[in-house]
Order: sequence, then structure tokens, then C-alpha cells
Amino acid sequence: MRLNTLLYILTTVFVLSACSKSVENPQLLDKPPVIYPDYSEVTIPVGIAPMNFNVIGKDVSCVDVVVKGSKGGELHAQGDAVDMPLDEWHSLVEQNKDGELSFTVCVEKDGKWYQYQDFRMFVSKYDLEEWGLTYRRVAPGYEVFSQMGLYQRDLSNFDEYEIIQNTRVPGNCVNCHTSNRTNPKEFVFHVRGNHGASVIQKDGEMDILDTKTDKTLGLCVYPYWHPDGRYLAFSTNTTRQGFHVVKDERIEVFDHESDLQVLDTKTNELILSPVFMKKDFNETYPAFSPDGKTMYFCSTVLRQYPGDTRRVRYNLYSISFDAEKASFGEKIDTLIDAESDSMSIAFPKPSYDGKYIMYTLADYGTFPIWHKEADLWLLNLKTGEKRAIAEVNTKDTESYHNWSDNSHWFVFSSRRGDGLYTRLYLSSIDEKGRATKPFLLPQKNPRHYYDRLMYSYNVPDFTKEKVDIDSRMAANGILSERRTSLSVRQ
Amino acid sequence: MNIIQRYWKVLLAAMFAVVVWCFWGFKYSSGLVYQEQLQLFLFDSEMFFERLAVPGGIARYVSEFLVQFYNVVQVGAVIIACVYVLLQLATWKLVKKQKVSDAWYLLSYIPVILLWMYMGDINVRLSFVISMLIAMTCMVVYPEKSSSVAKYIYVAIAVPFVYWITGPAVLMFAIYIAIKEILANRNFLISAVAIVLSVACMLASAAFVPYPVARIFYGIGYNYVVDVVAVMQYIVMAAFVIIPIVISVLPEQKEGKTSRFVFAGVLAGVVSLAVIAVPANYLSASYEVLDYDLLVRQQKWNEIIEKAEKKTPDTPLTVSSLNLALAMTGQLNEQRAFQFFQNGWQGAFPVFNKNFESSLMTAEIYYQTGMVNTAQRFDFEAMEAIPDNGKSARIIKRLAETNLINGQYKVSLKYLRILQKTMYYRNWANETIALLGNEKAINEHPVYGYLRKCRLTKDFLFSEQEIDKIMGQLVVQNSKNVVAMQYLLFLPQLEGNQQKYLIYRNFVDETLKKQKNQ
Repeated sequence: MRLNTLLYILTTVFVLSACSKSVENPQLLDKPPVIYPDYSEVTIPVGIAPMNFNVIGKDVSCVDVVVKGSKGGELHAQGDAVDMPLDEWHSLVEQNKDGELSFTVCVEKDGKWYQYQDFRMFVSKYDLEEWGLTYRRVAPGYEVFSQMGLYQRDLSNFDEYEIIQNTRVPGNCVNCHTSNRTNPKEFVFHVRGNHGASVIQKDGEMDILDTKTDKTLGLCVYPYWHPDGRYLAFSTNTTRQGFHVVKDERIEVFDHESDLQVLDTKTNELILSPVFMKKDFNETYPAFSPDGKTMYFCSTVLRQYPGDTRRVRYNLYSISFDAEKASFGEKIDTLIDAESDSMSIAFPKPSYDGKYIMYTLADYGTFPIWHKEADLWLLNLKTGEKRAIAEVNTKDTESYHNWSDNSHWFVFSSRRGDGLYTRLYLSSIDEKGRATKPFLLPQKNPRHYYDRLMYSYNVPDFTKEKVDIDSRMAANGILSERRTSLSVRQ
Repeated sequence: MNIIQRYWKVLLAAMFAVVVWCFWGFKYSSGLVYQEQLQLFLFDSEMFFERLAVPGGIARYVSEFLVQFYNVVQVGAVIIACVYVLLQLATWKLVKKQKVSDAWYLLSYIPVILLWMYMGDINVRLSFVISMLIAMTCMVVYPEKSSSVAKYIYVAIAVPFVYWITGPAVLMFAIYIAIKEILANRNFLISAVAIVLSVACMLASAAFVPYPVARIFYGIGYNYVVDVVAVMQYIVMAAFVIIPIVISVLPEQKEGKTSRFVFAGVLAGVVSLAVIAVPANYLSASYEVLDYDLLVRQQKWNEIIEKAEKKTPDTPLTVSSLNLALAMTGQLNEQRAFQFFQNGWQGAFPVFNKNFESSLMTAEIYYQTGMVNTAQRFDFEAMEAIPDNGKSARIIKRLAETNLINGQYKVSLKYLRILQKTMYYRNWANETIALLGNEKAINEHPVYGYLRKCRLTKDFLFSEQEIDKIMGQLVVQNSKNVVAMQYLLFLPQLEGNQQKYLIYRNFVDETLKKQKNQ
């Protein structure tokens, strides 16, 4: 991967050196440039990688960009794609924190230069305070999967690193990774396939668990760390898929059964509660509040599949959790009765400052990533007010999302690019809960990169520092028969 | 006569090349097409760097570049013939490092014949062959007669280089040096250095590439099937190392009767090996499936029926291809279809089984019946089922089409832009990009427009157990969908359900009557 990057940089340097011209007497155009990605008016954090872009248009042989900061500073870039120098970019953005950047774009067509109207980017006053992102990349397929993996990306540049990919564990699927409040020192991911397991790494110690017991439905699925790092809430789901036959729909995922359980990583016990093991209800997507005293989850009345697929609607609930006794309260509170609005909730993610829960709302079902109508919503825990985050939603799917540790940034996946391949977007949120126009995860040559990429990004999360997992050792452990089995506490 | 005496080796090589060309170009051409459709070769720097980043990647890159020419099977056959001849030539060059009688010359064909035999396995990739060719070339130029220092330098430089270019074919190179040095100079040290360095390179690379050590020793791009080790691969590699050494120590034959007898004996042996062993490893059942797939891809419906008339197909994939051909020519009915072997619904719509070839061929049936979404799913699954995690230009082309039919123009454009970077699909991609968003042109297109009219508009979840009902829905959607109509009537006949057939018959008759009255 590193060699690959080096060679790519060398080629880019070579290509860029081929386009080095002075812009002379450009003809002024009364419109802004059409750029990919649409970075106009987006808000970015200090420390983000250069927001490189491509100018879309025929016969563009060279692009010249001058970026000026409202608080000073300037940088210049030129090439067939806009590739801004890393250090200069970081200095400029830092200098203009809580200010704005103005982009003057000129293009050369048939030997003549044209200058577009300037466009702006805003630099947020909120720091990101994260090293990067973790995510899974997988083809947006149906039942078969080829190459896929968990990766991490340094957000200050374009370097991507493998956490683990399935070429190391052939025929298996790696998924559902999560860290504790973006701290990768407590990290979990699952492996599905003939070497299925849950891999937990805490403070450098890796444990490979067999989470199937004879008293639970099956393997642990959707995880969420308790803030104290000792407990992990999981759902366990008997999941099936169906396939639509009409043009705008593809896949439906549904749970025949699902329950919730909590893993005590100290004792390797699964803590079960009768509250979550009712036969008439399916519970899923657990998440702890930042103080660890409450667990949020989604639940629905059990339906018949696939006949009732369009009638399946999940509500959002909460229940108290006592970490000292490792026990749940007896009362379940309904936070959002989505069913009464003929909607369904998935992926509830509490902000770490305790103010909000962000969730995905779709017309029905438990897996909105295939629902075009799926949008991100925000529940204000103080006022109970809920609203669609119109600032970031589109007509296409918005689904997986996660908060930064300081709860001023969130990352989410969306199919808005082409309707199928999911990409990652970042947005900032202020004290009043207003989000900014999101920006696509920057790449060195974004159009080339995203055009060519045949994989979707999903389950994104921030990471405070680089995830330190020895992927070779993890793969060897997964391929071995060695597993820690779990006992059950009811 | 003098010319023949002087150039008999060249003539022999030419004859061999022609036989190989005929073999691949005519008899087993579907094998070449199969290989081509398992890959996506893009003319861009990323692809080169992606390959360069793993051991054996350069050989793989070269082979993928060559395999794209398999689109024209005769050109593909020429490529294989040339590579075979070069391998034989390299084998003889290794032999000729010692003084060896020409009487043994034909023995130098044995390794390449074994390779030819091994390539009967449709999953063997050209990158294995190219890797061996590169390794053999390095063996040929090994400075056997130079000083020890020169040899150590050569080994120290060549082993890592050959490893990164070819992958585990470096073991051939190392073992050859080891055997030669032990036999010729009793130099155990350099032998050990060559082998230890090779193994060390392989083990060290495991720290940098995301593959298990076993895969690195097997070759990342040598075979499409990676979870089962083909022992024959190692036998072929060993043959290219050991046979030249064995020939070089055979007793010298002076010109004369004995020499001619030896030559004739060797000729008989080698030809027998080629004639008996090579075809024996080309399983007719596997290639029959590929033949049908190729004919379906080319939409040569009458040729499919003619082929079936000569030998009735008997597997779900081949029978379903025949039934598709019958449907496309309006002959999928009781009288005609049951002239051939039938194996139930499996022979109409093979059950999805997460396999590349099966998914790809079944996708074609759904596509032709108007089940565009299901065809798209099977095609996508087929691409994901490519055993080495690669992508397929053929499938991307079809996905561009299904998305275009479904009006998902942005996704279609993504696929078409990828195909613009290929050699053989570029023109088609350019033409199709012009269609995107042009509703009138798409609706008037003979294939896309027709399939748009066939598509289901009322949603439900697909069920393999209810394909007959889905065919009924297709007929309701478009009463001119004669392909679906034939399948609707044929499916109950396949399960011998006369009552169901009569209901469907009645439904079809009513539909046709309504259509006539309109």
C-alpha cells in the first residue's frame, strides 16, 4: 500500500510538472465552475486534508487555482486536477479558522484561459480533534462478496491503512467494527464465514471470541461500547435478505428474530435480560448514553417475512443500565414512536455531549442503507424535539453515521453520488444543532478515485488515533481454531 | 532437404505453434473467452501500481494485458502458441548450456506439454505461464561460467527481482541454480544462498501484503481458485527445472542409426504424451458449459440448438442455455423442448449458487425474459464471485446496460467511464454514454426499449420457488413478451403438473385473445 502510494505520488508529480503555465488575460465568466466534488460553501475543519477537486468541462487542458483566506494567506495550485500542496494548505486553513477561503479558478481550453466566479469554503471554529476515520469498504452487492476490509484513513492527508481485509482470511467477511468513543484502544470487529468470530482488542491485548451460545440466538452482531470500556452491548440477529423486482429498489434486509445482550469483557459473560428476549419483539441497534446509565435501542413487533416486510417499523426506546450491577432497569421508555408516523428508525447514535441522538429514518424495515428515502434525523434529548437534518439529506440514501468525540462533527454515508456506491461525508454541528453543508471525504484526485472505485464505504467512525492492530496476527488468530467461549449470565 | 536439416527445429516449433493455435483457437476457444471475462484490464496508472504492489504483480499485469486480446480468440490462441514456443525454446537453451545431442531435442517439449495439459484446468491463469517464462529467462542468463563473486552478485540481485516480478516462480530459478551448482561445481553455499534467499523474500513479503503465507507460496495470481492447491502447478514448475537438467546429463548420441532410433523413440513418446495426456485433462463437461455460455453471449440461438441436436446437454447450465435458445427462437414448447433431456426447473432457471459461471449464465436468462433487476443481481453476484476478487469487463458492460434500462444513469455512467479505459469495450462505452438520459433513444432502442416495456412495475420480493408466477406477472406486464410466455407454459410441463399447465394455458390464450382484439 505504501509502495503503491509512493509510485502514485511520483506519477502525479510527473503529470503535474507537465502542466505549469501562467494564466494570461483570462476571459471572465459570469458563473462559478462546475467542480467535483461540490465543495462550494462547505464547512471544513482545521487539519483536514487538501480539498482537491476536478473542474468538470470539455476540453479543459489545465486548471489553475488561487486560494485566498479571509484572515490572510494564499496558495496556488495548477494541474489537470487541482492538487494543493499539503503543508501550504494546512497553514492556510489554520490561519483562517472561523474564517473563509475564496477559490479563484481559471481553466485553459484550446489555448485560451477562462476565469470563473470565485467560490467559498468556510473553516469551522470547531476543531475536529480526531486522527482520522475508520470504515469498511465492500462492493454494494447482494449475497456474495469479493474483496472487502476494514480500513482507516488519516484525515490530514490521503493515506489509507488496512485494519484488516478479507484477503487475509479468504472466504470470510469482516464487519461491524467499532471503538469506544473514537478511542481505538478499545476496538471490536466481527468476522463472518467459516472462521467466524468477534475480535476484541483492549489496550493492545487481542481476544478472539466465539460469541455463539446455546442460550442465545446466534453470533453477536451490532456492537456498542459502554463508556467504562468493560461492557459491550450487542444485538444478535437472525438476518435474511430479499430482492426487489422493480427498477428503483434492490435489496431488503430483515430480521426473523433479534435480541440484545451485553458482553462483560472482564469475565467473558453474556448478560441476558428477559426484557430483550421477548419472542414477540425484535430488538436491535443498542447504544449507550455517554454517561453509561442508559441504553438506547430499536424494537419492533415481530412480523411475518417476507409478506409483512413493508409493515415492519422500529421505534426508539431507552432503558436504564447499572454498570456496577451489570443489570437493566425494568421500565422501557419510548423515545420516538416512529411506527405511528409510518416510519422506521435505525442506527441510533447518541452524541457524546449527551445532547442528541442521530438516527436514520426510513419508510419501513431495519436496514435503511438500501432505502432511497432514508434520511438522517436528530432528536434533541433535552427538548424531545426531532427533525430531519435537511442541511445534509438528499433524495438518495443517507444511512450510517457517527459522531466525533467532541460532538461537533459527524460522518455519514450517502449514495447521493451515483445512487449506488456509498461515499462518506462530513458535516459540522453547532451549539444550536444546525449542521453545515457536508463535504465528501477528500481524495488526491477525487473524480478519478471515486469514478474508479467499485466499493462502497460503510459503518464510518472517527478514530482519535491510528488503530493499532497487527492484521497479520489477527488473521492468523482468526484462521486458527483458537476461540474464547462465552458463558451466559441471566 | 538441406533446408529441412538446417531448420528442422524451427519448422518443428512452427508446427507445434500451429497445433497449439488450432487447439485454442478452434477446439477450446471458449476457454479463452472465459478467461477474458474474468478480468478487467484498464489502461491507467492505478492498475499498474496495484499490480506492482504485490509479488508476481508484474507478470500478472503483463498476462492481463495479453488476456484482453482473447476477445478475438484467434489472437488469443496466437499468444498462447507464442508463449509455449518461447518456453520450449528456453527449456532447450537451458539444456544447451551443456553439450547435448540433438537426438534428445524433443524431450525439451515435455515441460510445455505438461503445462498445456495443466491449462486444461480453466482456472489456470496466463500469469502463471508468464511468470515461468520470466523465471526461465533468468535461468538461461544465469552466469554459470563466471566467477563465484559474479554468481553471488547475480543471485543477490536476481532473486528478489524475480520474486517481485513473478512470485513463487522464483523457486524454479533458485532450485535450478542450486542443482546446477551442486552438480557442476559442488558449490553448496551458493545453492543454499539462492534457496534461502528465495524463501526469505517470500516470508518477508508476507509482512507487507495482505495475504496468508500459503497464498504467497502458491502464487497470488497463478490460479483463479485459491482455496484448493493444484499440485499439478508444482509438477509443471518442477518439470521446467528438472527436465532440462536431466536432458543435459543424458548420454551423448553420435550421428548414426542409434541416434535416429533414439530420436524416433523420443518423438513417439513425446507425441503420445501430447496426444493422450493433453486432451485427457480438458474435461469436456467443463468446456461444454463454456461453449454454451459463449454461444449465449453471442446470441447464436440456432447454433446452440444445432449443438444440442448433436449431443443433448444434461447439466442445469447447458440445458438452461438450450431452453433459452429455444425460447428466443419461439420453440420452447412441449413438442420441441422435450426432444432434449430436461432436468426440471433447474434446466430453465438454475438455482443461485454463488458461483461465477452459474450466476453469469442464469443472469442472461433473466435478462432475456425481462427480469432486469434479477439479471442485474445475478450479474453483480457473478462479478463478486470471481475467485480472485477481480472485476469483469463483460459484467460491467451488462451492469451498465441494466442500470441504463432502469434509468439509473449515474451508475451506468460510472461503469461506462471505467469501460472507456479498456481496449475492447471502449467504443461501445463511448456510443452508450451518448444514450444516457436520452429517454426517446432508449425507449426506441430495440433491446433496451423492449426490456423497459417488459419490466415489472409492481414490486415484490423475488422468489426462486415462484418463478412461474413471476413469468405470469411478466406476461401481464407485457403481453408481447413471448419469451416469458413460453417459460410460463413450459415450467408446469417440466414438473409434470398438468392442472397448472391448463390454468396457465388458459391465461395465455385469454391474453393473446385480448391482444388480438386491441
